[in-house]
Amino acid sequence: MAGFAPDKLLQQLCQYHVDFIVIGGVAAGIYGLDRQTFDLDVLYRRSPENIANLVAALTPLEPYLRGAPPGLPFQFDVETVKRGLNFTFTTTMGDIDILSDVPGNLSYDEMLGKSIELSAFGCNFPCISLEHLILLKKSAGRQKDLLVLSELEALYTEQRNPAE
Amino acid sequence: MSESRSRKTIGHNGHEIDMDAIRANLKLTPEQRILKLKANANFILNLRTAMASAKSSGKHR
Repeated sequence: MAGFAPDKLLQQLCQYHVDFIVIGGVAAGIYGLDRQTFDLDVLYRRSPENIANLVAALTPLEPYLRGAPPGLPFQFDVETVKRGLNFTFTTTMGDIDILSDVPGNLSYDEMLGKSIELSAFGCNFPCISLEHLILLKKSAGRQKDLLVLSELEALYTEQRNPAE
Repeated sequence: MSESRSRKTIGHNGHEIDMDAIRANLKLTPEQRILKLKANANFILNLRTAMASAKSSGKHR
């Protein structure tokens, strides 16, 4: 099993000039949530150029459909990404989910204004704002999202009213 | 109902929130938080692999 290297995955996406926004568990971790996550969730721009960059970035990492039996004739290329929307992959740098939109059908371009710019590992990339991460978790409404939700809200409160 | 200054805070859905862990994380940079997340995830993944391997070798005995 490959380990999980979110730092390397982020560097890889940046190196290939992929337009993406960090969402999900890693975003929650970036804000300080102390909770396990085993994949990097990113919202990507659905432009032809960006899909080509995304494919170029992930191809060297041998992406394969997570949970699928080995040996399927899966081909990761521009046409595959164009035909689909959301993908969950295992890669040599760990698991990554690439999503075309988030609950509410909000795309990369719509979410970009709801993100903050981060600088880490020698690259700059957007990360969904804490406020909108909370809204996303509320919208998703899954049990695991609801468990995280109260922690995110506590974190949000703590950031605004830090303990002495 | 929550007591925001206690070590453990109860969220609105009833589960415990470790505010000390959150406060400790807030002292780290985003890069440090990602690396911590990576270390924790890999610890668990390695543990799972070791457990699966032990279980598998036990079956073949």
